[in-house]
Amino acid sequence: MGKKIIRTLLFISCLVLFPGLLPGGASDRAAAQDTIPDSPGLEQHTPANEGGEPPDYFERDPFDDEYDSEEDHITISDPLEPVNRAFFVFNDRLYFWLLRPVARGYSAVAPASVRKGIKNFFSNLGFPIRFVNCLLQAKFTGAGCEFERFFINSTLGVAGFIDMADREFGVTAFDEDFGQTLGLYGLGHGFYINWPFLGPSSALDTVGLAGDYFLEPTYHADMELGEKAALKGFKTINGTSLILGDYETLKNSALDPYVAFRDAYIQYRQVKIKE
Amino acid sequence: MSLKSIKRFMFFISLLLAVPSSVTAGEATDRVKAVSDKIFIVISDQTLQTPEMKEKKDQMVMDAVDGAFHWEEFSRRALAKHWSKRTDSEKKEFISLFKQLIKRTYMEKSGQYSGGKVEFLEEKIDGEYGVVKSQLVSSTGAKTPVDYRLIKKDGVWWVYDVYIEGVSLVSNYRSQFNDILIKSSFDDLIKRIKEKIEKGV
Repeated sequence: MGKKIIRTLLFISCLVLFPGLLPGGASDRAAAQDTIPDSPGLEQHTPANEGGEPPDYFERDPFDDEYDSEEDHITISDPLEPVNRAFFVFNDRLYFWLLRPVARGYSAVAPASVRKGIKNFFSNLGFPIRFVNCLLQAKFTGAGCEFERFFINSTLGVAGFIDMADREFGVTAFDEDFGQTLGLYGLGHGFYINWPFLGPSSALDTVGLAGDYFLEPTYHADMELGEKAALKGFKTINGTSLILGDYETLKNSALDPYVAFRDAYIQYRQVKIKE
Repeated sequence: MSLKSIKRFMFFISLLLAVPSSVTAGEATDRVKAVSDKIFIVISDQTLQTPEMKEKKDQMVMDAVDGAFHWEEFSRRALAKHWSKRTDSEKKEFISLFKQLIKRTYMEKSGQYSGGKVEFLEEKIDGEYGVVKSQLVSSTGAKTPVDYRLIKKDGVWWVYDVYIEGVSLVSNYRSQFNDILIKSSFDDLIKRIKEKIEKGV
């Protein structure tokens, strides 16, 4: 099937699913930013067994199989490390010099409840990404929940500002994205990429991100590029205002922040697949 | 005794029997809960929030964490294959430094949740190992999943790793230590940890 046909299909499904809500908005990439399963790109690294030494540093852990994290230390190849490190410095400065001051000022003006509502609104618009990827992964319960959530939150939740589905009905989101879908289909994670502006990613997740882009309402909305960028910027500032301090905590606790964020990213994606 | 008072008495007895089982969610959970309770008492005590009391407050948080965290297990797992290559005195020094490094993080994190609360969700035990799942609920309602991994040593449960949002603290440090040890040396690693601790937050 050609790219054009897929795009048309996705576009039609979007139109069918939410005809009234197309203009304005981006999907919640943060909420939908997740996972890739075990893959050739992820090296299952068992250090103690190297060089024929007995695994003396670690005894059996029954939760290993279930959580896959202790002994099988997950790593990702990083052939672009010098470039990635340069962009890490770039993103770090972008955060401390621009994003953090703006988000701080914004949070001083807008109450937390309002910012939470705006986050919910953006998250609600990310519905097509989660819904379509649930379907592509044959997670029909997830797709059903997502559909229900979108319906409830768009109506009772006042265009998505209030997460009524979770609050009143206990229906929570299924964070699925195209990166996870491709991973499930057996594609490897590839290597680590630290994008300027976007931050930690992998070869696979980058492809996933590009795929999900076509499911974003803004892609189909009749907006200028500048307007889309402004909206994306606002979404980022709003999201950041709710997690101020998290970046600093991990950075401050690290001996090598670059490696700490790379590791946290891989671990996080790994956990998400298991869900 | 009337039937009504017998009923009431029976009800009271059943309450007595019911309460202990619902309070003790499990030995491992109790162990973690004791630490988090102590920390929350410290960070919600208004008399300890002044700059002059900071040192005392930090010490109290440290003591609470010390009571349930097994630092040798933390260190061994974080150094992984490099652990067995170290001498006893090197191991000892490393344990002491790594402990200070983690405590810094833990204290900073606990300070951010002054308005929130901890909810214990579930406990899983398999032989000598246990997982206690909890979540931090901030004052704004944001939830952060925090899982504790525990190991039973001589009948006592000890925390050997903490997972915040699914990310293992020990694994995260293991990646960094490994990176430094491969590119440089153990002495350099020790030097860098010392610098980090001295620099403060």
